[in-house]
Order: sequence, then structure tokens, then C-alpha cells
Amino acid sequence: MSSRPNRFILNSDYMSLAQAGNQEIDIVLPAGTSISGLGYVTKLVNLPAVKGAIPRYLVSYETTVYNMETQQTETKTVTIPTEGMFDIWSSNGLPHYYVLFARPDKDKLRVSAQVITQSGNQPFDSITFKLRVSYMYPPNL
Amino acid sequence: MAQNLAHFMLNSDYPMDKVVFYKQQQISLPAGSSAITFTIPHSLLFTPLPIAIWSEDEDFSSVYGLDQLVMAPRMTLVKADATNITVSFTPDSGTAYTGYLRVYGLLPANATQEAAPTVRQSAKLVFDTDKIYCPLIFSGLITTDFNPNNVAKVNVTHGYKELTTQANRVEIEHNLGNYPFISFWREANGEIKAGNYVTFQPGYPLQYYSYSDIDKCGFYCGQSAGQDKWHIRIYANV
Repeated sequence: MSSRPNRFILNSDYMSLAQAGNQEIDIVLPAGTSISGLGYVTKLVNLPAVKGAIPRYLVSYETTVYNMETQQTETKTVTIPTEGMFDIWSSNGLPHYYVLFARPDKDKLRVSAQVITQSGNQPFDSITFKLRVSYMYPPNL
Repeated sequence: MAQNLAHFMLNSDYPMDKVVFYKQQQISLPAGSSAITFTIPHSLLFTPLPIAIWSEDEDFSSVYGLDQLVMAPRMTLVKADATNITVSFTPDSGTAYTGYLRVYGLLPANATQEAAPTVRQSAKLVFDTDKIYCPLIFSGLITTDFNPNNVAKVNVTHGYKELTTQANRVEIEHNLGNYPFISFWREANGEIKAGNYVTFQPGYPLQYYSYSDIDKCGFYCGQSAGQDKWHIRIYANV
């Protein structure tokens, strides 16, 4: 990539966001649990505390992804960034809708998963998420 | 945090975010079921891109962001207009909470007006070499126009490719080979609304969530017709 000298903008009058560290962890949600409605699976993950930082999440997983456009399924790795939670559309015979919530709580990250199915009460397969959490905050605070 | 020579990174090929507004205040979240809204004047000459976090601890040893579905109390809406940044909460039904709210405003890519400095130390921005200053690989305002065939035409400046995507999706090709972070805000009716959250709707479960891949990233925007404006920030993930 070529550099463009006039592209860089640094204004020392203003704070900017900094990345204060990150951590990558694997989270395995067990199979076979039948959850309907507002049921949850929750994992507590130890993470370094970064006071006042805004967490951002990148989540990778391998699963069968229900393709809404073609109505077909395919296996792939998807990474989803979010600020607090994200959803995964997958298929295990029937389309399953996964929701994962990642919420910092003191020195731990509380990761909760919700599974929603079209039929309302289908068991779901075990699934492993690779979760990378980065902490962002403005300096000068 | 351990010192690491590799931590500090500032890439002069790319711009950085400018925080043009910052405020922290204590908030009371009484028990109940009615939404609680806090209105914070920003005194800027433009509408900023709002970000908010809240905590039960004054030192922010716990940090909570937008949360649409489960937790109580939860912060459900962050938006800005020409005058205020507005943050709404859904309280816990049985327990009152005291919390602390931090609100930030980022400079939109299309803003040209001046703003008061936000730095707090010696009137200069102080870099911390323990940290990484994420390059903005894309920062801009795009307009989506979903025609009757449910095709979105996304116009992206700064050399990034214009993509044609299916309905309800905004997608940007970056070809970085890794997974960048993406943040987005929706501008409509004079308001800019933070959009990195999902909305639960029966029968159409989730909207407004972002995704990232090694060659493109984007978000589902819940739009199927008409024009919308989206402020987008894509940060290198280092």
C-alpha cells in the first residue's frame, strides 16, 4: 500500500481511543441442552480488569451457517465484532438462532448464551467460540 | 499491566478518532418498568457520534454497554441530536441502582465545524506507550439506497470498493487479511443513533448486528426500502 502524506491527521486538542490490551479465550457451550424462550447458559471467564475501558468483542466459531439468501447451508468460520452481544444464525436440521452476551463484571467476563429455535424447544449442538476481547478507552482520563 | 515494547503503535498512514465530547455523571435507576432517560447537552456545533458506558462503580471497575435483551438494569439506547446526547435505561423491576454514566462523542467524518478541546492534561494529548492507537482504516458516512429489488448500493469513499449487497446489509470490502472492528451509527430524522446492538423481534429475531471477515465486514441494518445514512468506523485489529 502506498502512503499518502496528507492522510495523517493528529490533533492534539482532542482525546483519541486507545487499545489498552486484549485477551483471547475459548468458550465451549455444552451440547444437548434444550432451551426455549429466555433460558441461558452462562460462563464466567477471568480477564484482566481495565477500569473504564470500553470492551469490544471478536468472536470466531465454526458451525453450519444458515444462508438466508440461498436457503442453503455451508460450513465456515465467521468472526463477529460487537459491543456487548451478538447473534449467530446456524442450522442443525432446523435453523437455530444463537445469542451470546458478553458482559464485563468486575474482574470477570460473564458470557451467556441463549438459543432460540423456530420450533421453540430444540436441543442444540456443542459449539466452541473463540472470543477475543479488546479494551478501548480514551487517554488523558 | 506488563510493559511490552510491541504495545505502542501509531500508524501515520491512517487517521485516528477524535473524542470531541466527554462527560461522566452519577445516575439513579429506580426500580420499576418505565424507561429512564438521561439527557446530556453536548454544546457542539454538530451532532457527534455517541458512545456510552455505565457502571455500578465510580471507578468503572465494572463496565456495561448497550444491552437490548437480558440484563437489568440495562442501557438500551444511545443517541445524539444537534443539542443533546440521550441515554435510556430499562430499570430492574425490583431493585433500585445507583450508577455512573460516561458519555463520549466522536467527531463525524462529515463535520467541519470547530469544537472545544477535550484533553485534560497540560492542554496536550498525551500518548501512552503501553497502548495501541488503532488506525481508522475507514471512517465515513455512507448512504444506502434499497431499491424495489432489495439491492443495496453502498458508496464508499477513501478507495474502498463500492459493493452491491442484499437487503438489510451494509458491507465494505477491505482485504486486510484479518478481522477489523466495525462500529456504526444510523442517522435519521436529525438523530444519530449508536447501532452496535441487536434488536429482538418475534419471527425475525435479530437485527442491527455487525460482522467481520478477512476480506470484508459490515452489519445488518434492518432496512429493506428507501434511503438511510450510516456513519461507519472500521478499526484495525492489532
